[in-house]
Amino acid sequence: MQPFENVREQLLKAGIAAGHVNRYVVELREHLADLTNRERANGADAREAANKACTIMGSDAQLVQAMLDRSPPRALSVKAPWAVFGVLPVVAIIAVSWIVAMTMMQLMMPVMRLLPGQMPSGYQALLTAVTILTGYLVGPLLAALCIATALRQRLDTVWVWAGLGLIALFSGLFAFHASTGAGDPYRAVSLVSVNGHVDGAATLVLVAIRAGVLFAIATFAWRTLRNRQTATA
Amino acid sequence: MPRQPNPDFMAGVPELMILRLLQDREMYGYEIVQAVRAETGDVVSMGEGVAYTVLHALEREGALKSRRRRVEGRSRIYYTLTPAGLKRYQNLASNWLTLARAIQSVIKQDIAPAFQSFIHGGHHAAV
Repeated sequence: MQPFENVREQLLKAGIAAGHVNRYVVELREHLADLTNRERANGADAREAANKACTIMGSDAQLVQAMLDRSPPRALSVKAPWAVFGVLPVVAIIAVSWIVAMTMMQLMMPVMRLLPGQMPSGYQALLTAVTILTGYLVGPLLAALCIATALRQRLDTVWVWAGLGLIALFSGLFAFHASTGAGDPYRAVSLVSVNGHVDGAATLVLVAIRAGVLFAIATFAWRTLRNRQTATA
Repeated sequence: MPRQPNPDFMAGVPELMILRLLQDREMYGYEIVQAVRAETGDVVSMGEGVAYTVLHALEREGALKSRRRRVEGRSRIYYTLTPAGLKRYQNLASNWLTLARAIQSVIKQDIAPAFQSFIHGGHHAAV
């Protein structure tokens, strides 16, 4: 185990911002290396120098307390987990869907009034690619971000579960969607929306299945990685 | 109006020392701790880890700036004083001098010789 890993774990669990903790640990390690070099220069062998340097640095508990006494910045995910895991992912999903839909509307302008069979294949491929990317990538990416944030801060709160649930649900409900051909016999692209195909019972079931699958995979990944992190800490 | 009590004497020492040392040049943590010892003739020794907590707090408050520099193959975080830090140092130093003069005026007639021998006898303060 690297030096000061216990300091890192204790500070993260105390809610101190991960970036701040990382820097503290990096500087402590540099300091320890300098002290070790000094002891070696004074004639100590490698083992003795390392032991002396560790003693001079002080115990992990002292280093943790020294930091806590100075009121270091607390992580946003600790201060406001409802915002980080509840509000942010939902806003991100809606914003991404909306921006993609608006961009696609602009891109599709030249071919919107063409007949279904006249749409160039490049546009069709673009529509398919964007639909798949927004429908199947945004949710998993946000879930991964949510998990990474929780792991980085050593969080084990119900807000992580809630966040993953909201991401699964909203990434199913809000996704870029374009109706081509079948929707309107006179237009190549008849409808561009961000409602994730929710236009009937069958598609609602599809949304529920997608949300369920994403939630199951994300929570499994979260629990597995969390357990592994706890075991190695 | 009630008078404000003086802050814990030793609590402000690391901050004062760091601000003073960084007035001359930019330094990294280990250098600062060693310089405090050297400059005070080993009378004041700063806890090795304490320096970083003070440095980070001062940086958050805008008194210091930091940058990563690569020197002799090692990457280090160097700290420099900002104008706000300089002002802070001047205030702190002024408060300390006032306090020191006040204490000296009380003790010099009776126990100053004993105090001097205590200090010169190799005793030091850890902060």
